Amino acid sequence: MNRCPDASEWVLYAADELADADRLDLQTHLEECEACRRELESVERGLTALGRYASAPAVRPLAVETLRRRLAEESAVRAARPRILVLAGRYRWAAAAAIIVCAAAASLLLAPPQRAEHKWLSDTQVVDEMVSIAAGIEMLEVADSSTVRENGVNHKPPPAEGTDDEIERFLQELSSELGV
Amino acid sequence: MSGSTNEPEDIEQVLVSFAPRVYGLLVRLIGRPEVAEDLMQETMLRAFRSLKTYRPEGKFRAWLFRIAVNLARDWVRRRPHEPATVLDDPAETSPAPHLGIEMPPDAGAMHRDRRRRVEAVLARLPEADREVLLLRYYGDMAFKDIAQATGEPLGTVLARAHRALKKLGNIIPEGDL
Repeated sequence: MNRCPDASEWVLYAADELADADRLDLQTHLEECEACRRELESVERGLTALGRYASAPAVRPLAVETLRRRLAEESAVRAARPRILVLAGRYRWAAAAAIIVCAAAASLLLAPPQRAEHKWLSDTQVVDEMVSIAAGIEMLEVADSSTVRENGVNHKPPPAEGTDDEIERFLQELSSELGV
Repeated sequence: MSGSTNEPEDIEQVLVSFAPRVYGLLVRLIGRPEVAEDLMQETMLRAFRSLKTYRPEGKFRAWLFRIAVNLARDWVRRRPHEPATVLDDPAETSPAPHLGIEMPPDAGAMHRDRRRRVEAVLARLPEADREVLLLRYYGDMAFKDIAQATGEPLGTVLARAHRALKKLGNIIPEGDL
């Protein structure tokens, strides 16, 4: 190796984290390169300073005890978790699908009887209906005139002063004849 | 993490054993001991609850410290105006027997002076650079595991480490290793 390796390679060398072959290459280079020897020594001094002089704040025993207790509580909760919930968690998608299917089936079986549907007419049907009604009204208006007879509607004239039943019967007969 | 740590009690024990290191990292990242205690507990509880997301092909400690680092980052983001505390009071800090890190006996004034200077350098490092060194120190992690814990490429982690270690290295005179 003639070219100087990347400086970060010396970090791995100093930390002894290189594969044997790579380490050997760097060792060979070190023998002929004063600059890299200085570079390596600088990194090694840094690691020594860190390991020897960095201080470590000690954790309070009470904090460790609290941790121990909380982990034990967590473990107890997990152990007490019903088996069905564990399985439900594991197969949650299958469980969700089953719930949806059951709910749909229940809604079909338990739904209240349907009331008679209101039948809506199409626009064309509405117009036809209105025409029929108008024709009926018109015929009623002229029912007592001679025009009815002239058009072949063979019917008795309405009672001029008949009872309500007579008038009603007359109107029904007229309607059925007119097809209203 | 070995395959034998499957029982809840084993997992609890493993997590508790990491408490000093995780706390050490957190208190140095955010500078507030009382907040670091809360976040340490939160780290462990989250790890306990989400053990199923842990993949054995990764390092357990990298996974655990990643949770801690993310919590610390979130806290710092929410409190951007609070500077990190320089923990240079020997009464507040100590060498690290509780972390299993071997420290030489106190060599007197020179030792205390170097400790203070190391603390000062660490406190002044850019946050991301400090994170890498603290993970190395408290997590006792390889740099590739630090990359996993921070979610950064190995090259970025090494560049940060190189920059920060050179600053720390200036504290120790040449030839005094």
